[in-house]
Amino acid sequence: MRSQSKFVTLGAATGAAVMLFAAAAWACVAGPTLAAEPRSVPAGSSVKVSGISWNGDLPVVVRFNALDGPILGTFQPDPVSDRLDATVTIPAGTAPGNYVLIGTQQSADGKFAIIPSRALVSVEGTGGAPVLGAPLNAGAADRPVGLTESDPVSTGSLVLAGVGVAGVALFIAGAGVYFSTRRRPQPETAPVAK
Amino acid sequence: MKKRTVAACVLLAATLAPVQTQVLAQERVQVTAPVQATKFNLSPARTYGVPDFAVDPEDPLHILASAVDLRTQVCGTMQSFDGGQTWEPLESSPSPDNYPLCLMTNSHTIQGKLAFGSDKRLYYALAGWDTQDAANRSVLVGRSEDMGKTWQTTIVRDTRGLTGEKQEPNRPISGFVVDTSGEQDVLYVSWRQQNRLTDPNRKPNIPVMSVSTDGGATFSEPINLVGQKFADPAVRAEALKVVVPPTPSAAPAAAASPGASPGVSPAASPNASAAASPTASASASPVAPNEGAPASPLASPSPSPRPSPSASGPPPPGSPASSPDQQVNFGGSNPSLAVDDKGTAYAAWVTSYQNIKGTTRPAHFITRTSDQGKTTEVFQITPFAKDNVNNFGGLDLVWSPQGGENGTLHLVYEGSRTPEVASEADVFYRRSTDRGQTWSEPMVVNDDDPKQLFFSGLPNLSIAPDGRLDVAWFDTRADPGITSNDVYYAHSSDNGASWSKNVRISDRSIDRRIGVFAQNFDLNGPPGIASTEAYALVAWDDTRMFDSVTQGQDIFMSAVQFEELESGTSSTLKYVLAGVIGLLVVGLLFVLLALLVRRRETAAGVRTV
Repeated sequence: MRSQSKFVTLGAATGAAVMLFAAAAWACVAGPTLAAEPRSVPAGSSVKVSGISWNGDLPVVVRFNALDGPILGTFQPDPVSDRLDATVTIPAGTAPGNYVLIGTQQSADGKFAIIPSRALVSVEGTGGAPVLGAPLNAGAADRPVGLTESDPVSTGSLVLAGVGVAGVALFIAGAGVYFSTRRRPQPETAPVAK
Repeated sequence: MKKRTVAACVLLAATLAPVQTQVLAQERVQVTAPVQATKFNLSPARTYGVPDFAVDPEDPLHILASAVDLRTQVCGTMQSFDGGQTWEPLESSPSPDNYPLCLMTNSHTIQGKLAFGSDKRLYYALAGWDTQDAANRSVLVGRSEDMGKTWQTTIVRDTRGLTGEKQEPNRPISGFVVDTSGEQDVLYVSWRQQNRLTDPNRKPNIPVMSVSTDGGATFSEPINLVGQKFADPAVRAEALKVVVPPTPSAAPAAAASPGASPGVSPAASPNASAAASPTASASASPVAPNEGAPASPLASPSPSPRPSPSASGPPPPGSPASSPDQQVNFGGSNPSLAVDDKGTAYAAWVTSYQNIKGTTRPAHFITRTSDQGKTTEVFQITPFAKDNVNNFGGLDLVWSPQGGENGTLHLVYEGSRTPEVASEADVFYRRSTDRGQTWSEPMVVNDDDPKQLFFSGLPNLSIAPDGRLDVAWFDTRADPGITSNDVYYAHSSDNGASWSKNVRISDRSIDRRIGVFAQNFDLNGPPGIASTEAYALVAWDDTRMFDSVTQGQDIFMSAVQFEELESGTSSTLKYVLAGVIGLLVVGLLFVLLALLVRRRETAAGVRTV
């Protein structure tokens, strides 16, 4: 019975998952995308850029590393599918590091018509290995783990407290010894025989 | 000599006496390392959405959170006893057996909403449906007297059995608050009521609210929050005045509103449109207008083609489609709720339209009720303007007692500093100190460079017991070009007069090529926030543990800490312990001294003998 229940649960979950992901085809798409391939190349190499959801009526300007950076090319997306497929060349002499290719579309008045889309490209150093510039996704390594608790009582103050109490105790003991010593009757001197 | 010794002892004792030095916590903000809250689930298919939080009124370290797996579509709960650093799942779900699924296929929403009532009673607002329900989505509220271990669930709006044009694909549940000022909890739950009407009778979405005055045992019929606002021709004229007519060269889809598009790119920013429907039947049917429409006039056509009126002749007189300037063509979406200390409830919502050709401009309104929904008043928050970039959601409302006898209403929503650029979004903030009747000019909370045209959207707003306002949102400013976004945060300690510098919460950009945040699923919501005086816990859906095959999501959290937490052991106890140890040391000294004296005396006795 239990295994049957598990089977039903598993089946329902699988079915739900299938339904959920099959439904993707019905979802709407907003905004453009841009991807570069390969993502790691030497300077002066060609890179394929592609993306979807561009405005098929406007050209896509691909710039290098900034919204006002060098134009690597201007391309017309497919007017039916709104898809962009193009090839650009990374400027020769580009220092090794990480850069973004930025796709933009501007309306007739020269203003941006749609939000830009960015794609990462790593320019390799000599020897073919990518030399990364600014670290990608640098985590905040210096963050504390967990919430910080207050500790107004430092170790030093606790030591002081202990020593203080000990001092008071010693003082009391010493005072007791002192007074008991003062009040102790002195042994009488034996009379000297005359 | 002895007098000098005594004086020295007194001085030493006075000097070494325990001194309570109060170390005042300096005000500083630090962000903790993120934790994987859902690591208790080892399933490689887990796909969690952003959670909602409820902080135990008596213990700010005890937090409950909704844990909704978007893939299995089951609403769960988890809890933490250490301020969100570790989490454990609660076995029981508020979903009844006959409404086992709770997913609301929508962007810009947190799937399950939690709130505490009186006597630590926990409430959970969620959707309910099963595969038999086709497009219908019911609204449920669960009650728990034992902190989520068991649930009693009430059906607020039962849509089961509705067919054809009467179906109600209600989504999402956008507001949930509990008024604890009276003898019994009063619950308010709100959502966007959709319809399945077809041309020429299509109608816009309606923001609705249902009220329970008996602690969630029963609920009222849904209350239309738009009221008679659009019965006023002047208000309609104001909305119609700013409609941009469709361009003749545009494709049929160009009639859609660009205001429906807060997204930036499909992966890094969410689609404003309604997300994928979870069932084949629901998917195949037309989604509501404006949501189902393309994100912008530039985007691809809607997947659900609508019949062209021109193809079937003019709409019949008297039908909604016959003229845009009719009350029936004006509605609203995604009401967000707040309640003040006098029991007045507020619902902020954004306009929705139907049968209006061209590009409409949204506006925000607020509905106020002081008698638990029996009567309502509606006030306008924002003008009908193109800088309101989201026409179906992306807003959040809270109330704070600061700011005068009425307190202050605070609203965040998706606006744009560059509305001429499609899909650009920013976090806008306004406030009202006269119970919603008038509102301040907008402030932009995100402090990125506007020239870079980054996306800053899906804002969430929360308030700490001391009045600090916490805002968190998703932001693409740190995207290195991998279609990612990050969680950013700002706070206000002066009741919204000014906002802090933005703080990056996520420790690494969240790869949105993985998971269901975008990628045509668009199952996303604003970051969850739990606000306490000492810290704000911020949660998001994170894909770092997955890849393009597993496509899952975890819930990750980091805390923004303002005050150090009180240590578990009291200071007094520590000092007492230190004193006891000091006495023990002295006692030990005396014992040693006594032993030494005794030994000497013994030795002296031996010698004497």
